[in-house]
Amino acid sequence: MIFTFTLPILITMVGFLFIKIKTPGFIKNWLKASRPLISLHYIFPTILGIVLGNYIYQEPFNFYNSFLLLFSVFFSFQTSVIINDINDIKTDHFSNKNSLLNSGSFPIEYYTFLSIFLLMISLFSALIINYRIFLIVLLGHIIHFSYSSKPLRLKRFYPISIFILSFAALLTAISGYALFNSYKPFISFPIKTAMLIFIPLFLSLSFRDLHDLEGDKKTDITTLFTIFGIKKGRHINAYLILLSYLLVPIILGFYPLFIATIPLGIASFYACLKKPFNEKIIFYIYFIMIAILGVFLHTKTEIFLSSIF
Amino acid sequence: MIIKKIITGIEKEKFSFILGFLTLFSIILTRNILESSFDGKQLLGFSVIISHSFYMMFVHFPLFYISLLTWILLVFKLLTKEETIKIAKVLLIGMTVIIIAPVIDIIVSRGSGYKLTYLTGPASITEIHKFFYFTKDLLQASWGQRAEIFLVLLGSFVYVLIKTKNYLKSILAPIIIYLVIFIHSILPNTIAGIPSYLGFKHLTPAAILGSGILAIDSQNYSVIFCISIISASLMIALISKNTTVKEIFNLKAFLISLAAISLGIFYGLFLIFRYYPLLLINPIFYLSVLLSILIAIFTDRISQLHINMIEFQILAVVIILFSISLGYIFMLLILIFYLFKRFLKPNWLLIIPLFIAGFSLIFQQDSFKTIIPLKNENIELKGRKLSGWTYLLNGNYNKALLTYLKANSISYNKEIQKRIGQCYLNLGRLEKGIQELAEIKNPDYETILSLGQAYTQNGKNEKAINIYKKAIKEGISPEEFYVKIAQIASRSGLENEMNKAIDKAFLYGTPRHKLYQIKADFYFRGENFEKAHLMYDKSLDYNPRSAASLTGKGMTYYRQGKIKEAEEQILKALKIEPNNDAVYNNLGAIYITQNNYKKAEKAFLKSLKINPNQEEAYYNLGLIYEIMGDIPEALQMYQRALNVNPEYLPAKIKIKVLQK
Repeated sequence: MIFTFTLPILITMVGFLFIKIKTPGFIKNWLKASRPLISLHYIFPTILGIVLGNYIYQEPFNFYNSFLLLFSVFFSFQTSVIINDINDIKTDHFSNKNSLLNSGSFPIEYYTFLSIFLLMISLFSALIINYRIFLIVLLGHIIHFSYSSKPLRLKRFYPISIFILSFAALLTAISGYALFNSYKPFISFPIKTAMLIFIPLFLSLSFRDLHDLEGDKKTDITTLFTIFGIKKGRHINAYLILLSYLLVPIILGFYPLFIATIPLGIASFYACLKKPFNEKIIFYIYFIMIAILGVFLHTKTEIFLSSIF
Repeated sequence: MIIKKIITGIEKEKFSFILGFLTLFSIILTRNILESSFDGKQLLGFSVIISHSFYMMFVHFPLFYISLLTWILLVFKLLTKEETIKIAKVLLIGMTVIIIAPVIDIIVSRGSGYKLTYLTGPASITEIHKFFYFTKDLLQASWGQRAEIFLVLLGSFVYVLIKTKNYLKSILAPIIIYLVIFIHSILPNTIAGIPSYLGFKHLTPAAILGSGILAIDSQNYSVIFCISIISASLMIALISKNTTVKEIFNLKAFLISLAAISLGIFYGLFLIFRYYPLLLINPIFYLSVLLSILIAIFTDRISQLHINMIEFQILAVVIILFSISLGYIFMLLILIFYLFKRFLKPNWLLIIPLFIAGFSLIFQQDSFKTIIPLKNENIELKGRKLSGWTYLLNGNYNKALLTYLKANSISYNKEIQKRIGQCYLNLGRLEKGIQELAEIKNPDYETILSLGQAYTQNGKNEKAINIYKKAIKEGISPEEFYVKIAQIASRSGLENEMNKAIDKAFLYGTPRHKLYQIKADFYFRGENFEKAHLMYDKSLDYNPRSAASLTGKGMTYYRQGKIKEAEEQILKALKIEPNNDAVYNNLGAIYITQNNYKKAEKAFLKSLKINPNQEEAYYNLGLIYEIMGDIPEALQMYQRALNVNPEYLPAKIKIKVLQK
């Protein structure tokens, strides 16, 4: 077990070492643009899935498998970031000057190679856990690929784009849950938790498109802001984020949570309208919400579950 | 106008072949994963056996859709005379429609999903209208599937209309495409079922654990779709006057490759023929031979010809996908052949991998053990296992047992012992069968299932529950075995045990309709008909297509003396599962109560046609003939009941009484 557990980690280390020797500075450049905040956004649902699975099935917690899954999900997200950046090169040229490829330090082929390497690591780690986890992680990759890559490039179509990203987050939670029940994780995953992940994210994820507005307009990508214009779009987005916070206690059927979600929702609302717009503030408030949910997940796990009949 | 603009936009879109192929594969995989994840009966990845699941996910179903796509492309090409690449781009985007089916099914079934299968073969030709036969709820056509086909047909009409502005052609396109879809859904079972005219219903040669000619049904189906794709592609190439085709099929150039692979196949056939002559009546064997030769030709040619990049990529993908269909060993050897051809100087060397590849078509993973026949035992073992499996599949349990016993005398094998146990069980020798199966150390899923069923049949419910619990502990299919435990507990009147198992089964994702049905069955047996109705209604609320719940509800009415309502429910169940022998038996029982003996006879005969090993059905037929005054026929039926189960007491008594 320990050998198979360490195998993907060893391969990753050797791979990175090889890249570091061959192309000094490349790894550093990649890490700079690897969007650690959004990576966490994918790691949280996975942990939520693992905790729920452990609670429901009362099976012993398997550290190796859980670590490998987080490892796999992290690299899955990193793969999607690179693929997205490669496909966005045209768009980001207009707006996102800090993106991986716009730095211009390394040729695009290097990033293609890195994305393939990370994809392999992610799939291999998942396969080591078991075949069905592999299928779920693969589905995640497929979703991200269809989201950013031609010919589908679904990110062009709002709200399909947001739907896909929310579903991808839900999928990571299901992958965590599937560590305990890999037979029918989609059916047995608690519907309340599924809604808790999917609905608020679907409502609020539009804010990520705000800083890409210019590029999106020029490359025919529809977003909330290209449809309604920057002023109206900002307001709609702020209300949607507020709504998503208010929906959390309603979805869980646990109304004391309003004490936390109302102020956090209002804070996010104003953060959305504040000029200049700072994406990080939204994320920080979101992490506070996650921390509060984490406390309840630990102390009152049953609120995340649906009744049997 | 908008649609025209969209189509033009898609046609102008520039992307590489590899990206297009990855997208196609992604769409197909998404559909497969969604469909199998929510399917009421099956598991994520289609099968508990991973190799089986792998083939279905990554080879069989992709080939099915690629075949469908290629034929639709051919139809569009013929009708619109448009550039192939432009049609292909539109079709690729249009393929996203296939994700709709599982999504609709998941919504309609409230999370359970439906199991979609191929039609049963030539007999299904009468069901050509099945996808749009709205008044009847046929088993294999779900609402999602209907919506998907409807959109495909609508799309084809619009596309041809935009391209040709000819209404006749636009109407013709969906009609032809509908036929293409229908033929694809009956093709696998039709071809696999050809030997049924010779008395062999199932001749998919080896099966999962027989490890034979082609390891699983999925591979057999894949071969059929490979041939289908090649046929359609060649026609497209001919219409497009593509010069590569001529270059590829240059007989002189690939003569050595053809000879090498054919020689390998003949050598394998020569070795196995003594022990497995049935191979020669299997149509899929011939298709596999044809496919292997075509793969050899393609590989030979792409290693030599200077074809352009896109054609090279297409052929490379074709070779990889098609050669996996013929087995991992075959694929590996084809790859070695390619490398030899490309990089090695002495030409004679390339004969070796091709020769072994041909041989591997028959011996699969045992190829390296058997290619030099130092030990005849290996070949005999392989042949006996294949024969035994074929006999077992076709219900010839005596022959299967003898064959497996011979195989066992050559070498002990867990798999052979399991088959021996299953043969004994099917021959009615429960104790012996149980003994064989119970001796197997670390039993697999199939052994546990057979053993559990045998214990249940033998009235040892507690032992059955224990073996399932043991399997669950080892992580083998808990969602299925919790249901089994609940069913046994329900039959044995163990309410607590049943409820516990139901709760667990729910956690593992067993659809609610199934769990309500088990509860309802429990109340039905306890003659608490009110509660039974309530539970059956809940079950049907979650899945109105649950034949088991409809039958249960019907039988509850029957026990309450409400015969008309009972008949109504049972007939509904039969519309959903027309091949369910148990439902026919229930229908027969209802007709007997109505004194409608002719109809009852028909129902029991139908039930026995589906499953001839039912002592009760023969016994009921005997009763009918007795009432109708046909004593010799009645006696014959009672005797047949005894032939199935020599211990069946009611038949013994009847024979004694009638003979007096």
